[in-house]
Amino acid sequence: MKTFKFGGIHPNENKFTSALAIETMQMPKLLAVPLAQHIGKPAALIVKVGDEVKKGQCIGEADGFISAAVHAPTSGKIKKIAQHPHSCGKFVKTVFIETDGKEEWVKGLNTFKIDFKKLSSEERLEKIKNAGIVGMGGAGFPTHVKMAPPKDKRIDTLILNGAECEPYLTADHRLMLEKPCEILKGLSIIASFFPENLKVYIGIENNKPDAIKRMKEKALPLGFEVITLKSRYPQGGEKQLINAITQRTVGNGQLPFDVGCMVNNVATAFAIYEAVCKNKPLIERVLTVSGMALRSKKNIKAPIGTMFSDIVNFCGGIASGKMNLLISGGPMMGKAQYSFDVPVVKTTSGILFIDELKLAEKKERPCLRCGRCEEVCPINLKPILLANLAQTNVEQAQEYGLSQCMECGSCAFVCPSKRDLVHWIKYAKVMNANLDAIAKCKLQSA
Amino acid sequence: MIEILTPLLILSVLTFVLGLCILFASKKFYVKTDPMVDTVIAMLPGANCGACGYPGCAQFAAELVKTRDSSKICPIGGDGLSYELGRILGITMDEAKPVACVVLCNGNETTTKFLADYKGIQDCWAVKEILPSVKQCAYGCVGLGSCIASCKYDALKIVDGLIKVIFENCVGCGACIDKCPQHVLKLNEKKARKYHVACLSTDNGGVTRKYCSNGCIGCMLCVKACKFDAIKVENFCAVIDEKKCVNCGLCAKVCPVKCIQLTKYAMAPKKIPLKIEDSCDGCNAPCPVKEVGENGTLGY
Repeated sequence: MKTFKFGGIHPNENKFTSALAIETMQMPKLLAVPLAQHIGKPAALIVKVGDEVKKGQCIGEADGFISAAVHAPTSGKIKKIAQHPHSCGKFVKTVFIETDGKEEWVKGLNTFKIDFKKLSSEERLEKIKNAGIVGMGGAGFPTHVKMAPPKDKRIDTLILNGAECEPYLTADHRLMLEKPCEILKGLSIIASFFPENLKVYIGIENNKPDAIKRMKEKALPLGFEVITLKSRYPQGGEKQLINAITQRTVGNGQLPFDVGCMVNNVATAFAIYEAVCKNKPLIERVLTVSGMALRSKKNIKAPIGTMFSDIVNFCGGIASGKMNLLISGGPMMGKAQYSFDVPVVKTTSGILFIDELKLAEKKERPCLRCGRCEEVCPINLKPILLANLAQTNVEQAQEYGLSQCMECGSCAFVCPSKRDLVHWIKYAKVMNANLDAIAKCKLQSA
Repeated sequence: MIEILTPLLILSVLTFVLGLCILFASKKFYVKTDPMVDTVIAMLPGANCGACGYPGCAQFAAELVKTRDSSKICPIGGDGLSYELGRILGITMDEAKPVACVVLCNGNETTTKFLADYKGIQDCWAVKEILPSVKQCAYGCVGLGSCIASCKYDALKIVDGLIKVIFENCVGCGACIDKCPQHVLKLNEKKARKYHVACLSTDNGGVTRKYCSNGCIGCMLCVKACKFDAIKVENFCAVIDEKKCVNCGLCAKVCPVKCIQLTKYAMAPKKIPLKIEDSCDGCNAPCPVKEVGENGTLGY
C-alpha cells in the first residue's frame, strides 16, 4: 500500500459519522456571508444594504488576479454589511442576508444540464471563475487560477484527493459514496484542461473501503485509477499526496505544477461539476458536525454563511456542560473558535465540539529534547528549533525552512511536553512578515 | 632545566617580535579621530535607541561633530543635554521638542469583557494570529505586553491587563511604537498639560458600549463642548486636532465614558549624568564638567 516518504502520524480516527447519510439543512433565517473566504484579495462588494438578492446572485466580484467571487446562498434582503468574526480568527467584512424562504434562483442558473464536452476550455474556465470555486480542502486557493498554470509547465498527472486524513471528518467520504458520478464528471472537466496523455489518479485512504469500492466501480470505464493509500496523517496534504502516489518530491519553494502534478479535492471536483454542468455557483457545501459534546453527530449540506449556532440547533444542541472546545475544521489543522456567530465558509470542512478537558487544559512543559517532532515532520523540518528561534532570533528561523512549514500539527500532537510548536511557528511567520514590512517602511522613508 | 628554558625563550622572542608588529601596525594604520566625538559620545545617554534618526549614539555624535548642525537633537537628553552639547561645540542648539508615549486605550480587565479563555503563547502578536484580541474589543490593547521588552527605560508595564506608561521614565524614543500589533502606542508632544483620546474603537456606539465601558461611543458631547473647533468624531471615535487644541480640558469634563484623558508631564529638564571619567582633551570650549576653572586653571 502506498504512502508518503517522511514522517507522519496516525491519530485516533474517531470517524463516527462515516455511516450517516448527508442531510440537507433547512435555510436559516439569517445568513452571514464573508467576502473573504479564500486565499488572496477579498471579493469586491457589489450590493448595498436594503437590496433584494436572488439565489445564486453575485454579491462580491473577484478583485484582482488571486481572488474569487462570492454569491448569495438564497433569496432575501441584505440586512447589513459589517465586520464580523470569521473562522480564520479575524474580523472580516460580511454581508448579512435576511432570507425570505422563497429560494428564487437567478434566471439561467440551476436549470439545465449542459454537456461540458461541447464547451471550449475558455468557456469552462470562465464558468469556474464566475461560480467562485476555491479549493475546498481547507486552503481555499481560487480554482480558476490553479486551472491555468504557466505555459511552460506541463501537467501530466492529475490527482483527486479523497484521502481525508483528518480525524473526525467524513464529509468527503460521504460525498464519494453518494455522488461518485458527479465527482468523476467534475474530474473529467478538470482533466479536459490538460493534454491527452494525462494520467488521472484518485487517492483514497484504506480506512474508507466502501468509498474505494464505489469509486473503483465508477472510475474504471473512464480510465481513472483508484489508488488505495495507507491511513496516515497528513496524507491529504498536496505535497504528501503527490509523493505517496507518484513518488515525486515537491522541493523547497516548488509548487505541484513544477513536478507536473495537480491535486484537487473531492468537494472541489463536485463543485466544478455543478458549476459547469448545472450553472450553479458555490453556495453550499457538505461538512461534518461531530465531537462528543454534541447530542447528534451529522454530515450536513449547509448553505455558505450558516452560523454555527444554527448548526448546533439543527444537531439537537450541546450536551449540557460538556463542551470545552469549538473547532472549525479538523482537529489537527482547524482553528479554535470563540463564538457561535462564526459562519460556515467555502473552506469549512467540519465543525467539532470537543468535550475532552485534556485538550483545553493542557500546560506547556520544558522540552525534553526527545526529537519526536523531527521524526514525524512530513517535510523534514526541526519544529523545536523553529519554535525556539521564534522566541530568540526570528530572522534566523527563515534559514531553517520556516516558510515551508504547512502547520499540519503533527509535531505538536506527538510532543510529550505539550509545547505549542505550531503556534510558535505561526508566530515566527507573522514576526518575519513584520520585520520585512518595517524594513520596507524604513527604506521608503530614508 | 633546558626543557623549561627552551619554550620560555621561544615564547619571549615570539612575544617580542609580535609586539613589534602590533606597534608598527598601530603607528602605520592609525586612524585619526576627532577627540570631540568621544567627548560627545560620553555625554549622550548611550541607549542607542535611534530616536534621533541615527542607528546609535556613536553615529549621531560623529555626525553632530562633523556638521555642527544645530537642528540635530537628542530627544532623550532634551534641552538640558542640548545646552551642554551646544557649549562644547560652540553653537546654539535648537530647542528640543520633547515627546512621550501615550496609550490610546482605556480598557482594562474590569471595564472590558474577555473574549475567550486564551491559554496559548503569552504574546500580543501570537494572539493576533488566531483571535481579534484577548478582550472583546478588537481595537484596544491586547494586554500581554509585547512592547515591554523593547523599552530600555522601564517605562512600560501592564496594570490590570492594560499597558501603562510611566511618564517619569519615558523619554519618547519611540522604540515601542512598532512593537504593538494594535497601534495603541503613540508619541505625543510633551507639555505640562496634555489631553488625548484614549480609545481607537471604530465600532458604533452601541457595540463599543457592549464591549467596553470606557470606550469612545461617538456621542459628540466633546465636539459641542470644544470652543476651538479642535475635536471631531470620525468613524464613531473622537479625534483631537493637535494644532488647534489648547489643552483647556472642556472636552474631558463632558465625556460620559471618561476616555479623554489628561497627562501631566514633569517638565523640569531631566538631569543627564555626565559620564566623562578621567582626562581633559583640551577642547577649548567652556568646560562641561567644571574641570577647568574660569581662568584656565584646572579645577581639581
